[in-house]
Amino acid sequence: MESQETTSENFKAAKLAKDDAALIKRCRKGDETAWNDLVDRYQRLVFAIPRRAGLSESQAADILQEVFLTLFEKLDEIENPERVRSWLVTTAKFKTWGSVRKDKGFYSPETEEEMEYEMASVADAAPLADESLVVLEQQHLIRTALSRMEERCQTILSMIYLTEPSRSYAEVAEAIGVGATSISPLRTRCLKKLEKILGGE
Amino acid sequence: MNNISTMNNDKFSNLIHLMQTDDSVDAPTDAIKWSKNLFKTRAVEAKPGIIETLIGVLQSSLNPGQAAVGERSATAEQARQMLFEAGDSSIDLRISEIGGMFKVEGQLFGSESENAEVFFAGQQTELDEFGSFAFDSVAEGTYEIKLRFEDREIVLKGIVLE
Repeated sequence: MESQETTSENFKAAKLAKDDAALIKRCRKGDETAWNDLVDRYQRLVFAIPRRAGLSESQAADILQEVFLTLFEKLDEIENPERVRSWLVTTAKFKTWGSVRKDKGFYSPETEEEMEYEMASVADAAPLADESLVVLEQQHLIRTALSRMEERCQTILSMIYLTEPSRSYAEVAEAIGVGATSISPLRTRCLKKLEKILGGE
Repeated sequence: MNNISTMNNDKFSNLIHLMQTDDSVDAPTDAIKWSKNLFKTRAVEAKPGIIETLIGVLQSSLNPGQAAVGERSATAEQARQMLFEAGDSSIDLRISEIGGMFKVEGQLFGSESENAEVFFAGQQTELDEFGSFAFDSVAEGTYEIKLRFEDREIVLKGIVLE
């Protein structure tokens, strides 16, 4: 199972990679719950790649299914389970590019190496440029890390950063039952925890 | 975004920027469900390895010419009857020769209302509503019969047709 690395340079996320490896190992032992967790964890990232390349929702859903089918078929062949994220991103990119070329009536390379060569020779590969994929991966890691945090931190960070419009400190304080002056230090503490999960420990 | 703009200048600015620009959405529910269901095929494949296997123990064997219990002598002359026990179940097996080939009939007792696939001599059938099964035109040889239930299987070894 060869794949070109498209990993985030900013977040090593070693803990999350270990989580991935554990899920793959449980899948190999026939644990359906682990497979469901893996699909839940990665569906958004895999779906985002063809969407970012301009494919329709229906086409992107087809790509998602193809990617998970390929993963399922190769579950026992993955040599580095902790790198399954990179493998999923590369596979989604590969299949997306094939779909885009097919739509345009172009020849569709049959091997991953041939596909990489074709992609490198195209002038405008912006929708699937590595930088774009790195951002998608980083956002995936942040979402995953956030989901591992205690509920209070999830509430604080979500209300401040993920809701539109952002909620005020007073609203956040009321939601978690603390004084408004506590929110700023709590916010910093939660961000530090998030950063720690995303670190390379 | 009220007081958030000033926060973005702090040491977490990159992290916060990535969070706030994440416009990804969940994939369609049916596509996720399809992907999850893939694993069920793997679970089914793994099943035979984890179910309980019971080996049937031969309790009695009546050869042709000996009347089986409650059996008319006309058929007793041609049929061989064997009774196996496996756990709480018992299997009554009758073997008769017809033109150089063999007919094997069986009936399961003690596992009422259970569905099972029956495998014998490269053939496959299912138990009927009475727990009975039959295989026709089986060549001479030594075989085993396997009854596969949802949670276990029963194997009858050393069935000699001669």
